[in-house]
Amino acid sequence: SEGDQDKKLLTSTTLYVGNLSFFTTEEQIHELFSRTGDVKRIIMGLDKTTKTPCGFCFVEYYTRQDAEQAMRYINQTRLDDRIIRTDWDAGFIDGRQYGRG
Amino acid sequence: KFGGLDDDELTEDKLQITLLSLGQKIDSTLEQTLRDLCTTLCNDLTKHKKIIFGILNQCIQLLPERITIYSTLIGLLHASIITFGSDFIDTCISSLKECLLTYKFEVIQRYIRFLSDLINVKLISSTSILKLYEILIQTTTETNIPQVRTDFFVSCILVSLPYSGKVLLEKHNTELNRLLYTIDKYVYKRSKIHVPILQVWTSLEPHPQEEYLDCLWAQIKRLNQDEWSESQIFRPYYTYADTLFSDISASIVHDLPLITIPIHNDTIIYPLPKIVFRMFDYTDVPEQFVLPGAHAIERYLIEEEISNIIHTYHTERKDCAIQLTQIRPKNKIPLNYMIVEVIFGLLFKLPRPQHLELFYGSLLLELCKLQPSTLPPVLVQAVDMLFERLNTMKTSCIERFVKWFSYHLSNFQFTWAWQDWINCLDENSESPKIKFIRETLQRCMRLSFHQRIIEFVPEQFYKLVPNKPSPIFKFEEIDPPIFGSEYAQLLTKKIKERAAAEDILRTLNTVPNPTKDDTLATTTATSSSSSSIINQTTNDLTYNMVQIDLFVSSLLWIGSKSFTHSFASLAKYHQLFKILIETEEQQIQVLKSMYEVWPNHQQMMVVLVDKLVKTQIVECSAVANWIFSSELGSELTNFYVWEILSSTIEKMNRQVEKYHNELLDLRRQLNISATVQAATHTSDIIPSNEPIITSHEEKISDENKMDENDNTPVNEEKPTITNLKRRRESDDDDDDDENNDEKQSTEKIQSMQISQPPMDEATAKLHEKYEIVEERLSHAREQQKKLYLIVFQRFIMTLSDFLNECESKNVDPVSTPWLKWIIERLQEIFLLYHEQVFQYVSTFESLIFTSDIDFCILEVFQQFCALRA
Repeated sequence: SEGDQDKKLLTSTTLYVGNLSFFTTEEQIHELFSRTGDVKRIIMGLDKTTKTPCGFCFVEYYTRQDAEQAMRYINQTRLDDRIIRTDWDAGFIDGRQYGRG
Repeated sequence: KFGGLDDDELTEDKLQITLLSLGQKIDSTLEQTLRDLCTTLCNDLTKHKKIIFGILNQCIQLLPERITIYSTLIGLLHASIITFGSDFIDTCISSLKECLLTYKFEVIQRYIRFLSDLINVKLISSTSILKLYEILIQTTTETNIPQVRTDFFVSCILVSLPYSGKVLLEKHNTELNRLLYTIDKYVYKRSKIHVPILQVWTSLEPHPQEEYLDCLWAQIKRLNQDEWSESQIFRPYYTYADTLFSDISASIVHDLPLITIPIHNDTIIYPLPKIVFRMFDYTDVPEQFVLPGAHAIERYLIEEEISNIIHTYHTERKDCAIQLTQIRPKNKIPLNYMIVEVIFGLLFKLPRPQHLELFYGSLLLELCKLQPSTLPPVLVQAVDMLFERLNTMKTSCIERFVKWFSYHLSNFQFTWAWQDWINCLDENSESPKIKFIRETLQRCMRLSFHQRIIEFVPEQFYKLVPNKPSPIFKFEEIDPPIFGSEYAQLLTKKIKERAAAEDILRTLNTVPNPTKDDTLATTTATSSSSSSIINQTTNDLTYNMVQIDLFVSSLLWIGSKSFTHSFASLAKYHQLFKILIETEEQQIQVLKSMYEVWPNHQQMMVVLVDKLVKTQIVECSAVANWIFSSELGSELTNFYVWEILSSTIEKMNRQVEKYHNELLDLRRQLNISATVQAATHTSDIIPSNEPIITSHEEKISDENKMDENDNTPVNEEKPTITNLKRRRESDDDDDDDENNDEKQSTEKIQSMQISQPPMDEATAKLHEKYEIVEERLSHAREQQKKLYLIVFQRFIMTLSDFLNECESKNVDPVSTPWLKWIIERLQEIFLLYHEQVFQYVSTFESLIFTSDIDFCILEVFQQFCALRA
């Protein structure tokens, strides 16, 4: 339900990262996002048909605080010459790494 | 009505918003706003007194940069309501007393400064402020207390004097002089051993890095000479002279009740001393500006305002930047220079910056955005000055400079006048400037990619551009083939085919043991059974190393496509790692093999070591020993090596902290009243050269290992994009495994509480759990201590070897960049982890930092100890 979703967002340690260049790698994302804390995993968003990166990813931290810092200091700054956008995510569920094909 | 504050429905929220945002923007409307707000609050004070007092206290505690606006408001309220003054003082004092008892040093200082300002609105008598100062200065006569204690209470007086000095001069000249005389005597007799370890630069040129109390005292003395007239403090209360200062004003000036300073005890950790960071003087700013001198009170007051704003707004970088640009300095003060200087000072602060390094970087980005024509030139000038002063800059600060600069460049398309730095390219390859450029390019590459670096730097810089971060598979070299190549081919094939761990192990066991026959020959020749056993073991060990090397190299080579691929490879064969690797030497072999595959990809090594430690394939102590091993010798001055060491030490510290918190939690549940000593300052009770962990303890820690793979079925797909999904699934499982143990235990406890079984049973279980955690904690502490011992011992060995070598070659070690890079890393470890290191300080003092080691090493230890003296 929507309430559950909201609750999840308030305690989530996962961020959705959008407006990435298709060529931005996991390594680059790790370099930037690990500057606010220990990154647990990065899941690259993939194009449904080509299975290549398609401009978004999920970054999961171990702690809420580290994720909050990323929201504060990384959102709307540049990576690979593009202004990236971060949002809270309720937590990665398999299948969601596929963007529109 | 004031700003929508309707007194009919005055809610706590509305009051809070109104009061906390008061004076956020200072303009001509402030005068009327304050009058209106005073009227509104007067009307509602009886109804909402508790709430209003609570919020006002919050303002005092949280918004030090607007303190005079609040004292004005409070002065106006005092002038309007006869009982307000004494009631308000009571609330303030009880808050202050609580802060004193709970050692909230920052807030204590803010209260004392605020109370000092209240003499300007005739709420508090100047006599009682003097009395308060006298109580604070009494701490200078205490004996057997650390200097940091007295420093703190003296600093409370010094930060308050710019606010109260003028009134005190007028009314109590003699007492004020006596106070200043006592402070003067105190400041000059202080020990300064701690200063060098905190300085950003090792040289006094061009600007001395003054000790903060020395500097503040010099500023106050100058202010005293100027008869306490300054131009920087915004004092809105003077606008209300008719209300506040008229002779017919009926308001009573109050005395403060007696405040006592809690006596010292050894568990109190006082604020660390600081140094004052300065990089500009008046010659660095354009002619139309006047930068206040180092000892002008205006310099301090503006710096204080800037850092207060940064601290208050640190969670909102955009608001923070806006607030900074709204500061209104008097007398042609170059605000942007001061902002940039303060931000770099905060970023370079030792031991650690107060906030995340990235915050200061993102704040500078916002400031550039807000003032695109005026701020960037100042920043460029600052970078050039910092670059020119790299030779004497501390290694930790150079590292922060590198990290910030690469991040900043990545936000500006890596545009920089690289040509300006061409002259330094002939310097020694270990020189600070070369190192800075090299490390910056390395970090730029981590944020972009190799080709991008080639594109943005001039050709002359190519020799400093990092190698392409590609893996090396030594077994691939066919001419001449090295031992094991054919097995490596077989292994990579099997790993690609997702062979089971047992299968890989079988293959590894077919590798011939090249020394086996020799061993047998030796045995018969010497016919000494004991030596043959030793030989046998040595040879088996060597053989085992070959197996580990083949396995690790092949595995990392196959997983080399990305972090995710590598992690998946490690996870899939986690059990095999556990079978192959027992001893620390074997763990170090894993690291050596990793280094051989990835010498050109520093970031990969950083994340791989992190994973190997987290999955407990490799222990922290093995990482430390590997870092100081001869194989890595030439890398020791490179920054990534220390990134790996710090991250390893931090994992160890976190482990201790985790058990400590679990234990505290269980204590609460068991309602044990005795207090557990805080993780950061336990006494040094464990004897130090403790032998290696017993097998029993090993078992306990095994149970709790953040095992990433134990329950993962061996069904991994080969790492290709199409199969990412599967791997991620199992990654997910792995990660859950990491916390399984913890989760289960928490769940157990929770379910016990909910279902409420017979108390005895539940309590018994809790006790059982408690004992387990207690044992884990003591084990983790032992490990932690062992880790620091290894690190410090290896530091001393490495440094001593180097000094001996210099002596034999007749070289002055101080003239070499190498000594700087390593000795300042030793300083860094002490500073970064001072809380943990202080727990074991007596052991380190008696065992390793003894008088027989070189003074340049011992000196670092002594400076460290002085931090809390």
